[in-house]
Amino acid sequence: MNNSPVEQVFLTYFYISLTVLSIAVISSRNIIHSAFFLLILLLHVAAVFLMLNAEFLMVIQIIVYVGGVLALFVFAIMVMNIKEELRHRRFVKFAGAGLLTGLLFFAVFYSVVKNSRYDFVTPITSDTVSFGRLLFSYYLLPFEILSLVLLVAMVAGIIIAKKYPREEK
Amino acid sequence: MIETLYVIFVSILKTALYFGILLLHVAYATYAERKVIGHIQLRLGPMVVGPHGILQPIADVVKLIFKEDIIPSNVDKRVFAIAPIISLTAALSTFAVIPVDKNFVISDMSVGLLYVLGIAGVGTYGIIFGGWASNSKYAFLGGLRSAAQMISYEVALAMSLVGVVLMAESFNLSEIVNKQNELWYGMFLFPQILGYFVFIVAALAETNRLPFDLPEAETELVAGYFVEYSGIRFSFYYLAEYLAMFSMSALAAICFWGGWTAPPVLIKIFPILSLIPGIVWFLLKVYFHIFLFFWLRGTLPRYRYDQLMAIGWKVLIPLALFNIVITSLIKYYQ
Repeated sequence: MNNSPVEQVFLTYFYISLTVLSIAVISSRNIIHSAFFLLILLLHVAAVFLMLNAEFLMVIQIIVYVGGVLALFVFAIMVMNIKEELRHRRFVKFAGAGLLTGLLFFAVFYSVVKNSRYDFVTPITSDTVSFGRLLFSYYLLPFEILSLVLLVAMVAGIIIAKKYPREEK
Repeated sequence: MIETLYVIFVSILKTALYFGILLLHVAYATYAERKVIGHIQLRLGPMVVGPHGILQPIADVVKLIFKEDIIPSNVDKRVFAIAPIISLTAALSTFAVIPVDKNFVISDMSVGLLYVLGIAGVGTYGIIFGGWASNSKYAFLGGLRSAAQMISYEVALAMSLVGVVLMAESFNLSEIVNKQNELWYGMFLFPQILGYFVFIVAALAETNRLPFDLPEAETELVAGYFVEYSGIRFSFYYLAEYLAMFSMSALAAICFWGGWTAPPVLIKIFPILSLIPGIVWFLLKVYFHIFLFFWLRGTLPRYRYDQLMAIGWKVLIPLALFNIVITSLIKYYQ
């Protein structure tokens, strides 16, 4: 797809480290370390987006996953007492089930991806423009439905966080 | 192949030059802060090293580098060691997309504005992880406070810039500056005054500066998230804080004050002003904001934590949303 040796070196680095990091996320015993590896992993995914000329997706990846999702993870993890988990041996019991699920997922994923076609066309306009055009024309209905879902989630969040009047007495 | 090497060489040279000069600016910003705060409090500030203490930052840097790097015994060593580096890297990489002059920008990214906002969020992790790894109450509380504060104010910060993006019709920082230069007064400050106000307040909170420096409130948390740090790792945090201040000031200068351009009306009245290079205008605007940061530090008392959250969610975000609605209505009916 791209012939520049520099880009190929970078992409190879990103792919290898993505694999290593994702293994590190699930295999480290301390969940703060996991969160830390996840941070680096998500930044690497963003970098791969950048290498594929999808600047907008890269930035959205950083803002949504790194700035939003992972921040909430870390918030929740930090107030937990992780000393207990550090003392336990690794959760070897579930290794078989985990491996099976992983293989199943990979098989399904592979069967879907196997026959798909890739067109690496260098976009004429920036991907922000084409993304916005598609979102507000062809995908308008799904977009609006999603916004409704988000609104429901927001209202639900407020309701859950609200103190019930009975508790105030 | 030769061309590739040439491109790599030029980018490295450009980056080294840019960041070398940037770090010098940051070093002297610490000096400027001590001087400004000193004079606000009717003191003289640093006076000993060199005439008027001009060599003080150099002495500080040398001291910090040669200090012992103490790692307390019960900390999580790896996370403790790496956390300041996350903060520093995030703070430095914002500057990759900030144009300081016409055509002088390291990476002219089409979504530069969003990139700056996104990377600013990454810096939070250095603080959270540093606070957690220190294994100390004060550092931990500082880290938690900073996480909550930065997540809340990021929303307001991003929303305050939506008005600018709507007016410039682009996320590219150079494009935003060019669009402003088409106006006769050459800046988005006046049509976006509401957005500018929200931006400045949110930027103060985002960079952990007074009056919102809850994460490092001396009176209650000793020094907050970096209590346990010393030597070079402490200086990384310190540097990251000042760099964040610089990037926020640069963002304010670019998005609201017209970046490296002078207002066209001013050029029309005094044609001689067009001889001043763009970088001078840019630095003037940036240093105005840096001074504003120091000035506010010398003037305002610290807010309480619940007040901080109330200001962020109940005042700034509604104001920013109002600004977005007004801007889009005007844009639509123009």
